[in-house]
Amino acid sequence: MQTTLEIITGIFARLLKKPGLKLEMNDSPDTVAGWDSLTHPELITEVEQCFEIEFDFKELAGIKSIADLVQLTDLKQNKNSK
Amino acid sequence: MEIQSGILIKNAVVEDIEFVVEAIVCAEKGNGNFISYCRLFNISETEFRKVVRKILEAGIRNFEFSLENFKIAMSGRRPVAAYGAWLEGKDGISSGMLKISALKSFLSKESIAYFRSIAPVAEEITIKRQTGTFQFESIYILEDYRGKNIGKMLVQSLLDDLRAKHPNVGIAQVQVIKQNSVSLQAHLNYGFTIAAEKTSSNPEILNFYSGKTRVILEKKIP
Repeated sequence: MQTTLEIITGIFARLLKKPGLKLEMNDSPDTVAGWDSLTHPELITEVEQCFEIEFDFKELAGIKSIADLVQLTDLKQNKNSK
Repeated sequence: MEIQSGILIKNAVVEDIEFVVEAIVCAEKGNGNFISYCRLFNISETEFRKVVRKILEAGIRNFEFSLENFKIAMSGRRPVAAYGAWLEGKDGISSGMLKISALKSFLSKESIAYFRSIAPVAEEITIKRQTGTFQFESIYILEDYRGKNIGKMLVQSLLDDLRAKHPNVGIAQVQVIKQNSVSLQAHLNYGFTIAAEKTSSNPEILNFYSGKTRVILEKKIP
């Protein structure tokens, strides 16, 4: 079973057209080429659809790194499954 | 702070949201008489105002739609001018990412998709804000109160507050469309100088902005 990081990595690789992309937890828009204000909405929407969750503005405002995105995704998934 | 007879500068509070929305809308219109965001996201001015109000109410800090960034000039009980400023990247996230996150949260999927489709053109004059600098955005002064030094004093008041919190920051910047001659000249009068500019030769850029050149004006803080 794929981890949340692996699934998110797949989404980023596909949308940013970077096959073979390897995301690390400490990656951020500063270290991932193409992750910017132009692509951010699409990346987030795809994560939301894939995990059947929805982030509100305050949650999005806290996403500074892949670690933040992975942790928030896991948290929202756990809430949904309860 | 009293800046001249009958005029006070204060921090914006929730009760000022309507005036701050008005300030953002009017500052956006500049000389072009249209709101770039409306063209970029294919929305009406009414919808833009509604979305900005929601974003301001959310209370997220350090980007151009943060209520706490704004100072208001009051004439008696009447707000007559507003200006906002923040420290770019203060919490480890750029104001650009915060802004697009806000817009994604409050606009329809169709509007976001529309933006994605036209963004490559609009991006031709986009300049990333410099982390660790003070960024100014959305100055608005009621017509009857222009030429009374209120803009300069708003800038100084914002700088005083920001410098008190971040004494090591030495640069303040503002981005304006060069063809917005009123804003450009006003900032030159406030002590800013032109530091950089980015021009597009694509005529389509005029579908979204009132000019083809974006300018960074900079003020060194002693």
